Amino acid sequence: MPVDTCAQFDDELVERYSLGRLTEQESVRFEEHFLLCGACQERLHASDEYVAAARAAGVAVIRRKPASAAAAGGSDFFRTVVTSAAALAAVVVMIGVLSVLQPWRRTPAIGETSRVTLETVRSGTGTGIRHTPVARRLILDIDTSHLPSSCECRLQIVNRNGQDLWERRVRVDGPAVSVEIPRVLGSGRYWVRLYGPESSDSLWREYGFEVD
Amino acid sequence: MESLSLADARMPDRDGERVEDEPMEEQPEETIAVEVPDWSDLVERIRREEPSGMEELYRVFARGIRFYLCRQLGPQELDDRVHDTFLIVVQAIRRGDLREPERLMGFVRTVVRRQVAAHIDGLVHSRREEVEIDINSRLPDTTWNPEQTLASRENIALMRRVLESLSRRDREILVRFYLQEESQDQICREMELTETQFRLLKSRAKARFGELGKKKLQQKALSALFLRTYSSSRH
Repeated sequence: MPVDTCAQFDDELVERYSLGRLTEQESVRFEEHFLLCGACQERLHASDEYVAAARAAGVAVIRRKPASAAAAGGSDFFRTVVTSAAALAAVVVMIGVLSVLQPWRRTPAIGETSRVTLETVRSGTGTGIRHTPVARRLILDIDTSHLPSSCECRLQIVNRNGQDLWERRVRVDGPAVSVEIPRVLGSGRYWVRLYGPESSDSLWREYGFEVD
Repeated sequence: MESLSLADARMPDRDGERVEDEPMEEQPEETIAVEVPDWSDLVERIRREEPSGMEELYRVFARGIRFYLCRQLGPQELDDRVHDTFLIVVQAIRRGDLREPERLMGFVRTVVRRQVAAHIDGLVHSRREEVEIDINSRLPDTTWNPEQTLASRENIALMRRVLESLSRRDREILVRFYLQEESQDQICREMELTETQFRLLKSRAKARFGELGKKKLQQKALSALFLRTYSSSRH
C-alpha cells in the first residue's frame, strides 16, 4: 500500500493555510493530504486555535492602550473637568500677565540714560527742584560738599508719600558722589535722603527731584 | 516572564546569550506516514456496491470530511452534511462520473468544497430573500458549546500573556502579521527584519504559548486530582 507523509507540509505552511494565505495550488495539495491525515488535522486545528487566539489577543492588547490611557486620566468626565480647569487656569494666568504688563497703555518713550545733579535746597516745593525724564538708567550726582569726608552713608530714595523705594550705602569722599539707580522711576516726585554713618544714622541731607 | 526581544539585529536566546541571525530552532518535524488505499480497487468495489468498499471509503474519509466541514461551517447539522457528502461521492462513482480512480482524493475534496460553497451560497440567498422569519423554521445554533467557549477564552488569555511579555516592537510584528494580515515580506521590509528573525520571533511566541497551555493543563489536572481526593476523603 502506498504511503503519503506529512514531511512536505511544515508548520509554516499549515499556519499559512490557517491564515488563508496559501496559493490555490498549495491549498489543493494540503487539503488532499489532510483529508486523509489525522495528524495534520490536529496540527491544523491547533494552528487555527493559535491564530484565532493571536487575533483576539491582538485586538485586546490594541484596545488596552486607550483603556489604560483612560485609567491614567480617569473617566471621560474627569478628563473633561481637568481639561477645562487647565484651560481656565491658562486664561487666569494670561489675564494676570496682561494686567501687570498693561500693553494697551501707551508706554512713554524711555530714554537710555538720564543724569541729574542734586543740590541741597531750602524748600522741597521751591523752584530749585530738578527735573529729569524717565530713563532706564538714572544717575544721580549728589552734592556732598561740607559733609565729613571719608565716611560711609546710607542713601535712601522715597516717593512723594515717603514710601521707601531703594537704598544702599555710599561712600562720601569729596564734594560730590555719583550713584546709579538700578530701576526705572516712573513719573513723580522723589526724595533722596542721605543718612550719617551707622553709629548715628541721622538724616544729614534731603534732595528732591521730579521725573517727568 | 521571559522577554522575547527582537529590538535589533542581534537576538537573545533562551539563556540570555546573544546570537546573531541564528538559524531556526524548530525541531525537525516528525515524519508521519499515512496509508493510502489502492484507489482503483476501492472505486471498483464501490461501483460493484460491495459493502467493504463503502466501509473503507467511510473509514478513510469520514474524519477528514467531518473535520473540513466542521472547520468551514461549524458543528451544526454536521452529521447530515457528512452523510450528504458521502452520498454524492458514492452516487457519482456509481454513475461513472469518476473517470480516473486514482484521482478519488481530489474528487472527494472537490465535492466537500462544493458542499461548503453551496451551503454558504444558500445562506447568502436566504438572507437576501427572506423578509420575514418563519417562526417554525429551525435556526441553527452558531455558538460554541460551553467547553469550547471556555477553551477559547483560556487561549486568548494565554496569548495575551505571551503578547504582553514581548517588547513593544515584537508585539507590533505579531499583531501586524496575525491581526492586520500584513505579509511577512512587508513587515520584514518596513521593520528591517530578516526572514530568520521574523520566523524565530513567531516560533518562540508559539512555543511560549504552548508552554503556558501545558502549565494550565497541569494545573487543571492537579485541581481535579485534589477535588477527587478531597471528595473521597469526605465519604
